[in-house]
Amino acid sequence: MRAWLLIAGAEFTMLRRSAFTLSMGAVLPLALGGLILLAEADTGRAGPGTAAGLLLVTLVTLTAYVSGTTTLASRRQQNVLRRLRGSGASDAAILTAVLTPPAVLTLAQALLLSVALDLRGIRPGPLLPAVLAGVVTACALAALTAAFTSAPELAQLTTTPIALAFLGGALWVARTPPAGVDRAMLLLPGAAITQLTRIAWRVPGADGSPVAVALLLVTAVAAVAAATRVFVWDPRR
Amino acid sequence: MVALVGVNGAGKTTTMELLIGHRRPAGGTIRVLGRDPYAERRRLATEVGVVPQDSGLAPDLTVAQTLRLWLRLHRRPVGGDLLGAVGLEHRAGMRVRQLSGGERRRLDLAVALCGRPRLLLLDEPTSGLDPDARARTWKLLREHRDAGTSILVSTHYPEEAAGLADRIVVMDGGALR
Repeated sequence: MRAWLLIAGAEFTMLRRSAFTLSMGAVLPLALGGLILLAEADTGRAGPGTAAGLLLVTLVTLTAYVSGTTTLASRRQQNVLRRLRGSGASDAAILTAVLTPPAVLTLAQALLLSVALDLRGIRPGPLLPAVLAGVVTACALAALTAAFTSAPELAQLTTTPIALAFLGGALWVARTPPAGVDRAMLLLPGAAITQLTRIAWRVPGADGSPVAVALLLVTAVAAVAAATRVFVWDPRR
Repeated sequence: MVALVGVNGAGKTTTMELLIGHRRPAGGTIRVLGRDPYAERRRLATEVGVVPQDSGLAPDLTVAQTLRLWLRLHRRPVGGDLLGAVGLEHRAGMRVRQLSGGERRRLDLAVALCGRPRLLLLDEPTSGLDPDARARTWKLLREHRDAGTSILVSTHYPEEAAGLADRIVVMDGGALR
């Protein structure tokens, strides 16, 4: 716990100092989230619950998943992960500490943008798991993707399939009537997050909260198990 | 203090990485302070200070922040002025990425000393250092040796090893001569 706190604190310091990481991890997702809210305010086509779901998936995908993968690949290329392994900190503490700033940033962005949404009457029961399980799943998938990402600049390429699965799942659910969302669709993490958000917003016909949470957590556990097996600590040549 | 001497490609760094626990040996067994360095990496971290060939210190932390982080990561951190000991007190506020190669090497050594190690494994700690900094580094290592710390240092400068080490081991083609 102590090592995790210390390394995460160092990561926050480095995040503040990196204009590129800050802009890619904080400003871009926030701007995209703002655009989704503006589009919904203009057209009202998706409805506030679905718009909030799309917004949350955008943040989880870009900030937690893509930035998390980029940060891990960068620290490995700089030999920082390898050096930290000689500090006595556990592998889990090192990995989770490096992923803590993207996770916290995602939560902060979600909080900031939710101020723009009317949260009165929202059910926190499905919303909290949507946010928390979404971030945990994205971070676990970031650790898995980083195993196949030899350099931070390649993260844009290696994160594309899963990022598309996140965003595509969200759009698929957004275009499907709430009652028409089945369990197979919820296998996509973005779909599960969007559906949970719609349930939180009391969108008529939206249900399946326990199934969506369970599928998100199964994805997270599977990603952690896979990442534990395939993660590479030394720089990939 | 034992010096591992050999030309580039002799196998010094591979040997060091095996001792540090960064690599798993293809065959045979390795014991460092009685432990398997690959399997018991975390336990050994409290007793072994390491200067690897690739620094691996976070480039966007300052020198002072780096040292503070590593001191806090150890349960029994060393006291005293480590930055002064390696001659980096005037660089405390500078980011690691802004240091010269020699200055980064000196910070690597300071980090290796953070946890009061019983054993120091140093992979070419003087590479890139100017003569003054090299002399200061060797003086510091002698002080630690005299205080009871075991030291294995690799170098490709035989004259340096001859002047300072208690024992010299020559590596060539991956084997000890």
